[in-house]
Amino acid sequence: MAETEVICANRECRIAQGGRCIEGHDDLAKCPHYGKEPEELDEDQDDDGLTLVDTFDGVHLPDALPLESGRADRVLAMLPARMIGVIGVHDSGKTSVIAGLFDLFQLGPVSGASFAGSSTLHGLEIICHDARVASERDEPHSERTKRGEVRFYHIDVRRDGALQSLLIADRSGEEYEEVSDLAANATAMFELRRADVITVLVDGRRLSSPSDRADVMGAIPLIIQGMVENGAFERKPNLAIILTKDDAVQASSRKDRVEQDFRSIVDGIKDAFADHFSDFSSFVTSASPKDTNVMRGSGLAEMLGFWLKPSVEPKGLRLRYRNGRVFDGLMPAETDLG
Amino acid sequence: MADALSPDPIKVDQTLHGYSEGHRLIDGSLKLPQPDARTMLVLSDASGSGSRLPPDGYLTGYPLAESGKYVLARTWAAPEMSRPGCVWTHSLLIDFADLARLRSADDLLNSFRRPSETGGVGFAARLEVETARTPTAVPPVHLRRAGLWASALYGKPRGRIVAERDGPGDDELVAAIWMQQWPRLRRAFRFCSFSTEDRSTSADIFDLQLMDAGRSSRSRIPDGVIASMVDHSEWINMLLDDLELPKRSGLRQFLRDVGSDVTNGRAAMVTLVDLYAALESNAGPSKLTDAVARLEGLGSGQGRVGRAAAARVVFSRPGLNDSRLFDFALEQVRTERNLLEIDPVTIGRALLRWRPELLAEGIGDGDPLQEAIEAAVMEASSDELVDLVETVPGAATALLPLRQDLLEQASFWRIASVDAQRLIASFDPELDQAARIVGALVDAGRDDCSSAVVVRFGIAPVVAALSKLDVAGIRSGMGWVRAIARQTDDLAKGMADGTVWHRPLLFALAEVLDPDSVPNSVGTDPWVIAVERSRTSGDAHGEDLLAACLFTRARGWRSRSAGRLFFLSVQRLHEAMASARLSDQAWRIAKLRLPYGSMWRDWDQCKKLRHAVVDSFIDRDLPPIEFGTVVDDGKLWEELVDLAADNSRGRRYLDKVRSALRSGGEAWWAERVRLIDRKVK
Repeated sequence: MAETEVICANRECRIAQGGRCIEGHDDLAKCPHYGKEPEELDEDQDDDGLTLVDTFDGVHLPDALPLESGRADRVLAMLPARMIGVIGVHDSGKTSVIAGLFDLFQLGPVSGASFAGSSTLHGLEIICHDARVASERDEPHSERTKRGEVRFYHIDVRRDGALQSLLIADRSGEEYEEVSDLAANATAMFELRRADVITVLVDGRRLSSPSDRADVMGAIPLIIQGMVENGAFERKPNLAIILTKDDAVQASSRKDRVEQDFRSIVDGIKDAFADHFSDFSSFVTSASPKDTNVMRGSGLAEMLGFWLKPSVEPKGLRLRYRNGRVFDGLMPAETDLG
Repeated sequence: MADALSPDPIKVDQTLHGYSEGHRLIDGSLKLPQPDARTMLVLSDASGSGSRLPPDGYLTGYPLAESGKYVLARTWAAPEMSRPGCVWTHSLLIDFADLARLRSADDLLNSFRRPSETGGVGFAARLEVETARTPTAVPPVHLRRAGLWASALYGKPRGRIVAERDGPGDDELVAAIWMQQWPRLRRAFRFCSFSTEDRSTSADIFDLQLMDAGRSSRSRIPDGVIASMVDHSEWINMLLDDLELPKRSGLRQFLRDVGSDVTNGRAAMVTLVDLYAALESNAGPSKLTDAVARLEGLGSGQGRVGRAAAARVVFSRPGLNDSRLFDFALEQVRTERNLLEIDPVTIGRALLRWRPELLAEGIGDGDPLQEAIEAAVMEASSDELVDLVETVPGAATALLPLRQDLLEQASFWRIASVDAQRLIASFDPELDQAARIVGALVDAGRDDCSSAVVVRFGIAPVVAALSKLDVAGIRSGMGWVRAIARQTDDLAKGMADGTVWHRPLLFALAEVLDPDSVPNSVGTDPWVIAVERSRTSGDAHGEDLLAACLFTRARGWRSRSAGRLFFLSVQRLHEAMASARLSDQAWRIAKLRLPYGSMWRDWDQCKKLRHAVVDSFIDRDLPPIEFGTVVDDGKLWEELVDLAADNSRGRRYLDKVRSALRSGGEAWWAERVRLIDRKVK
């Protein structure tokens, strides 16, 4: 007997494979899709105009939590701004760097820049909380950044009489790590494409650990390589390479070796990716030291200075879009934008 | 058949996510495609920063489109980990097909396991979960909150709904609302029973998020819709009734049945609930009208099953009187080739009631309505169809091929708009039902069609129809009598072969026919045969008229049975004349062949009659025996004999009569022989 091909107009349905209707119809005759060829469904999602009384009669004010991309765009448009991309594996201290910088500003100007405002004050306070006495913790902590879309911390600064915005991207370290597994994972990291300064964190505590040292030294170049392959740095941003958790390094018996390793990492990156960045610099920081052997926030002022340093030569970037049409061949001769 | 109370086992995949040098997949029973694996990594992480997670964790539900699975996950805080903000998440991955069959999420919720501090083991194999076949009821105390959420979810279908988390019972409540949805909506529904910020991404919007009570949900999701007020609409009450008493409610099954092809997501819920209410038997027509209007508002390709359900009700609910609804239902039927599985008769009857003009306009062969109309037409009473033709004259063209019995209805032929002449001309002359059709035409008083009918069918069906009528009936259709009277040859044949025998018809023929018109070239006179075949009636007028006709015919030269015609007419006519009851009509016929002359007084018509009879017998030498028996009345016969005996020719003829009578053995014949003996020596 000839077998009849099982077909269903519902593209989601896998009845042909599993024999079960995705709509739960035991009697397949009741299913409006079964036995029909797949067709384009009307996916209209029109609001049907139903009314629900909204009791809120005030003015919607924006919150002061880290910004999603849309709101970050608005900040970029308001003032001259520097976008900072912070790259590091999990627990390398990305959030602590941001929180430590915010804490420094509360003590006074940092690297000649005064705090001039923020639209993410609540967010900054939250990430600082676990490192403060008010948290009643025994030692400073920083809650790990959750997986998900990138968020931006915003700090306005006044330097030499001019206002400037800093937008610091924060994303979970796990996501950056995955770039080393698959370069395509960097595709969605638009904050890196737009960044004026890329800041790569090297975890000083792990670099001090004999068991983790090799991982740390190997992971950073792989992540950067993945991002380069994905075209993340086509704008040639500046690159800051930061050794974090210097308190742990200073307390380590392998301190010299760590410093040597860090220099090795920095040199390796400079050698390997010189064409992809405009300027290079490295810093040693201790944003939220657990030991008192290092000043809280040490190194961050220098780092901020580098963040605020204008790019060597602002460039327009000509993007050539090609969709394969003959029309593309009629593009005017490129002008060297220099 | 599955017992409603017995559990329904399903197999689900599972994963465990937790902190291990970052938030990662710890273990799992399947390998997911990269996009789905990434989605799980994000959504299995904590739902927000800086907040204390509920001790029993919280639920997250979301689909994995590429894998065709729905994830129901529970996330717990993992304070045992070195870093703040670490979580454990146990996810159950339910195949979409299994999800559609789920009645309750209780058994899934009971399957969650928080890993011990030593790490997650035992998550690498698929789970078999015995799921209840009956939905879980929501306790009345929770209905208010359910109402808040449902009101916001379905009242603002495009909004990200935000509500404040009240406690661990909210997990079950949100699961109950999720389970109330039809499969398509259920597998697209994203919810989280504890958030501190919006978990939606640009591509995947969370439908419902319960926010940490300690935080302002509005500030966390600025464009979220706060579930803060119940819309006390009927649809909300129906949803709550269903949540409270799901076993008694048919709503959930209805949603399951009609939601399969609704892609509008939450926006369709109110529409479908309204439709459910409108389809209940006690719902008013306006409710159905409104529900249908909203259903159509969903979009052209949406809710075909729901439309079919509404159309079924429109067609089958008696007393529904809304042309818009019918137009809607008609459109549904036309889009489905199987008539929505509605009895064709039901659809057809509604069509005849609402759109009879369709019959006149004509329906294409491929139109699914053709079957319905044919079924209804075959089933309808002829009175209904006649009314239909009266309303829509053009419908006759479509009806008659299916219901030729309509032609047998007098009421059909009474319809002024029916072009009877043309219709009759189109009939097959050999039509079996010709007699019945003619009967209907006669009954309808369509004398104007008599000639056309006789031309088409001959006189037989007309005679048959007229033979069923009484005197009054025939008199009211004299046009028909005249029509057959014009066919004298056929009439002669009919009389001769016994077809024409009905006495009232003979009366009518006697009235309209020239007595000599029916031919009698051979054999017995057709009139004699016809009259002898019928019985004398009590209609004196008719009988006298017939007698006058027969007498006059007997006096003429057309008949070859004059003697028998006298026998059939003279005594009756004589009595009528004697008693002066002869009608003018009969008299006008009879006097045509009565003798003239001054020797008799005009007023003594009886005598004229007697003379006419005697003269005819003697002059035409008609069979003597027929003279001997021409009347039963002995006195009248003696007067006839007296007249015959007045002259020698007559006496010679009487002698022949005497001889003829002697050959018979009957006593009254012998008595008449003796009378002749006395008169003729």
